[in-house]
Amino acid sequence: MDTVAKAQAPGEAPAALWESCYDLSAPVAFFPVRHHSPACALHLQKTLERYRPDAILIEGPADTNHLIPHIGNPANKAPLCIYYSSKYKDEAGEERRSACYYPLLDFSPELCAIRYGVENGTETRFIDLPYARLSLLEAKQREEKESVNGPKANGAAKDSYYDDYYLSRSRFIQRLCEKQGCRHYGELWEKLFELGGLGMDTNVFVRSMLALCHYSRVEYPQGLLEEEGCLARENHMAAEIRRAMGEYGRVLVITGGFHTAALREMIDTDVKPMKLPSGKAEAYLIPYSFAESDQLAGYQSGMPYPAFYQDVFERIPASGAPYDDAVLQFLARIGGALRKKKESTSIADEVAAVTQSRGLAALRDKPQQGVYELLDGVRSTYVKGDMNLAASLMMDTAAKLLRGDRLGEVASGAEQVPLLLDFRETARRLRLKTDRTTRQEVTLDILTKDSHRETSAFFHRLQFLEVPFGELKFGPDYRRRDTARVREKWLYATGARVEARVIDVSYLGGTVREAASTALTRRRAEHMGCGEYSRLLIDAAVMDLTEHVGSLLLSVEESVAEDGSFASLAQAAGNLLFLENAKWLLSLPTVNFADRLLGDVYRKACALLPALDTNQEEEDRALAKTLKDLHQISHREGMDPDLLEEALLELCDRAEPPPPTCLQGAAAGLLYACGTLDAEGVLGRAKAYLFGSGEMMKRTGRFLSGVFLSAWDILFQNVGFLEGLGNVLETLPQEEFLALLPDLRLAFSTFTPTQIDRLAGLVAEMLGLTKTRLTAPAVSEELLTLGRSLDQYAGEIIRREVCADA
Amino acid sequence: MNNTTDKAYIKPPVEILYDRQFRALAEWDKGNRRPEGWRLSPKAVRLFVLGSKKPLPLEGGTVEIDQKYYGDDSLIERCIITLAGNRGLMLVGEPGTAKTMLSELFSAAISGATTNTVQGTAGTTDDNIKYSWNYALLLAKGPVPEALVPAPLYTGMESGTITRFEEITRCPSEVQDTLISVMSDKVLQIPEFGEEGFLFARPGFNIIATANTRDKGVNEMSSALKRRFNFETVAPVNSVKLECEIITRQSAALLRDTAPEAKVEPDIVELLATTFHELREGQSIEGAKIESPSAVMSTAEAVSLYYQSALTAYYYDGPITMDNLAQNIKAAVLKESRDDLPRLKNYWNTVVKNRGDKDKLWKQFYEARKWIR
Repeated sequence: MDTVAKAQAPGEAPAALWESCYDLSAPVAFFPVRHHSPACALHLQKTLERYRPDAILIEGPADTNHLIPHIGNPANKAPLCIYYSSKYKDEAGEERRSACYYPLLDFSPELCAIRYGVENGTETRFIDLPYARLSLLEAKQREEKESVNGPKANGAAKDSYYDDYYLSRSRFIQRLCEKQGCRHYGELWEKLFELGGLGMDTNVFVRSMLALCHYSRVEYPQGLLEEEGCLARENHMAAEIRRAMGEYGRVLVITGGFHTAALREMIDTDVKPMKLPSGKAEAYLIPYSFAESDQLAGYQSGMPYPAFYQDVFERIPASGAPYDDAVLQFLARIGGALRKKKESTSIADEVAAVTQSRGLAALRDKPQQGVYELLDGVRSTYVKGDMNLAASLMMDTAAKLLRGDRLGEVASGAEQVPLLLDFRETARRLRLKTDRTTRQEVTLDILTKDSHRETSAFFHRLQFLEVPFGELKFGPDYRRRDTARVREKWLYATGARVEARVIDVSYLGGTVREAASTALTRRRAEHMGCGEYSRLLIDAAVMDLTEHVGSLLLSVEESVAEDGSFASLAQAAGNLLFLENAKWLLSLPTVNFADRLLGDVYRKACALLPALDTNQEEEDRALAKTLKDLHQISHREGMDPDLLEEALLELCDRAEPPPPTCLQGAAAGLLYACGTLDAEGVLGRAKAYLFGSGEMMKRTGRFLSGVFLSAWDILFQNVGFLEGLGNVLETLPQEEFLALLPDLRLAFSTFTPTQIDRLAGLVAEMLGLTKTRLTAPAVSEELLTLGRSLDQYAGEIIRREVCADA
Repeated sequence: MNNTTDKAYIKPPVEILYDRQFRALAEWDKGNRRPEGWRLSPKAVRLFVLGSKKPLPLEGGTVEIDQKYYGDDSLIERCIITLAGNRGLMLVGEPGTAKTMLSELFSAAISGATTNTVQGTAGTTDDNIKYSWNYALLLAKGPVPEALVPAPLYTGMESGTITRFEEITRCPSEVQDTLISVMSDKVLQIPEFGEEGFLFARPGFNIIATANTRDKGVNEMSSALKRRFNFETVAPVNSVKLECEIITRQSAALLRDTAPEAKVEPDIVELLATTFHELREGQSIEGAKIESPSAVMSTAEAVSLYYQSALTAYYYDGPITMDNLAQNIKAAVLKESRDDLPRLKNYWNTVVKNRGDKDKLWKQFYEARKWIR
């Protein structure tokens, strides 16, 4: 294959080839584009009018041609995107999924071409490899890269169908940036092609683009392009172009500029598409948003600041200097927004910003001011002082306005997924705002209002389906079985990511309820322990899928017999107890449905308890916490409390292996609560640790934290315990005490502030101190304020760095 | 420029030091748009500061325009355009980030003089900024023009040149505010001259102020004054390579006069630049977290530290020793607070030690740890 890269020495411009690419008298013409470029869109529109093609071929996965009439539907509102999702089996035979977006804005040349095609009844096709194959090709490449470089944190599937990958990392472009005094490819492109390209003759514009792409491409060795799948794609596109040339008289090919010249050369040779494996792919047209298409916030493709370029694009037909006008407009808007935020940006500042921006454009030899002059203007004149946090908030305000918050709309009629329609419809019915990508907030009074309960179930179902729509800010915490609050507050926002995930799970059912129900059934079919099944029971309850309760109870019952894990049994016990107690909150059947099951779980857990062991501190503490649930169950009607007492005693005094420390403490505490052990007995066990050798001594804190977890009142009911503890601690050498301190502190952290206050009173009494001394604040107000502002400052730095990283 | 002038001052002013460059730039500049009162066009000023890849012709030969500022190019462009407009330029940033150097470069390139300067201190008064009187003449002849002693603001307005105001935040706020009405109205009132007591600023006049926002003993700026300036924050250099380059160039320039035989040693410069970079950024090149000392680890400090060490080596006839370097680093870090010592020790015990396992120079550097205590 003889391509541009091979045929030409870097210095030599293949002028004849460029000539033949864009020859409007030939049966085929090529138009190179950069995606989302107002100038490209403008020149493409001119070309379409002049060339009047019989067929329009566009770089884009070919398995979505059926969507073209819908994309071109004038009733749609951009930004839109095509969402591709494909399934395939990897080398290990495991099912994998990959997905990507193909964003379309009003000023995307591709969308202009499709709209033209649909309006004029011109045949319009996508000609790239079908996504089913493209995704496989990319997956393979990724795997190969990972096997060489190791897996990367962001090694996930490529997000966007197209990007500026080849151009932006080209050394030629980097040199050109230096030479033109531009900071990066984005600014260079704006200077040369957006600002410079508007007034250019289309012939010259196309020629310049081909030159830019040619010099960027020569540095990529053929082998690399082949390896990266670029050649396989071009091969396919060339074959498609040849096929269309056989069918139509005048064919216009619209592809990324990087491919144009290569394709022009390839169609003169007899290209055959390579044989490539294929998976299964689906594609849907969904609304997109400016926020998502913004390069800075989203993916490395196309242009940042979509609201700015949209504004420019809309001004082009009427204005002689659309960029200057747009910059003026936006500088005023940014000034206004800052004033609303109580910043002291004045009209004089706005005037200075415009002067600054204009001056910079002249200094930088730009025919008009672009977005980078605008931003420099804001930086120079609106920011007063250091480039600190307040200043970066200003820059953020500017960036936010330049990005915009427009959300697209897909007109009905386009082929859409039933689940997606149900999602939108239900959201609308429940009065959730889905026309915005900024986060909304809703508070649900789930106890008193049926509609609120329904909304809550809707959020929970979507959460179960892993759709990133709502986030429970606060409310009853079902996972931690905390029902202290009865209102739920949700934050939610929609967007292409949300809708894409809805599409991904659409195979589960036609409505959100149905999909959640299917997902639950599927989860139930997986082999799990009784703890996890009981967790699903809670899920079913909060999703208001109560029809699953019966079958899930059955699953719990069946799994209890097989389940040999105390942790899982304890979890089940806790969850079942919670469900029994929270029936009023969860609209569950009112009968004591779980009693029999609780008995099974309780007996089995008691049987496993004496042999329980772990050497993990975390697990130790988690296990200790579960004992309280068992204790609660033991006092229910029909349970035998002796069973638990015996098991606890056995565990507590086990010699070999010694019981986990925190668990032992909790067991001792419970035994004290039952009356089996007196305070002296508990203290005795604590002393065993305190006077123990090195490591053992250090565990005292953990033992005490176990005791306090299950019987915090021991300190208040029994002054002897506190005194005994105090006396022993006093005898410890300073060094040992210090070693003990962290765990000791942790142990006392289980108390509430009121309890601690009471405790302090007791200690003061014991030591013969007055209480006034204790109530004096530990830190002065000044210090507290300083600490708080430091904390805030640190928080802001972290936030800023996280933002910068993102 | 010839060597005799070079030797005549410790630090010759920019307009003398770069005289040949300015003449070449003036030649190159023909045809470019120039704001009234400026010696060079904005494009030539940018070229002067950021350097030219190709030497410019001058009197049959050529002149190299070297790069004088390393960092954000767009910052330089914003500064130049600000100076061409009707607001002053306020350079802010941590100590040692080349604010004063930038101010000198701009005023030399635009007005041909860097010397029209107010050096702000707590004791600066109105008289030091605007004008004062020759009291003998004042008593003898009354308030006549020859009795007036112009101060930098007066001179700048009268001659249409840049007035530099160094360390403006060190002046009391009320003294700073002297500038407010002058900057917006571009006129200075001299009531002693009666009806003729107005000095209207000539084109080319503007103010470049530098301010330190982090140091002790600085005053707040009123928002009225802030509004008359465009602020540009000069950030520390953030790449080791660039920092090496700066240290090498500037130390070489300093050594040329005092110790002509001394050569700048690239290994040591790199070690020094790396140390400063890591301590400032709080992260080692390998990515380990480091506690940053509170002292300002500026590039200027690194240059003077290298120069110190090189001079010691020069006068005591030996190479630059790691012991000497370590002592100087300790002195630089502990300027701010003694609390930084443990941080410096930690740095030595982790980063320096680890690197010493692989690199001979770093090993010697590690062995100099006895001085860090």
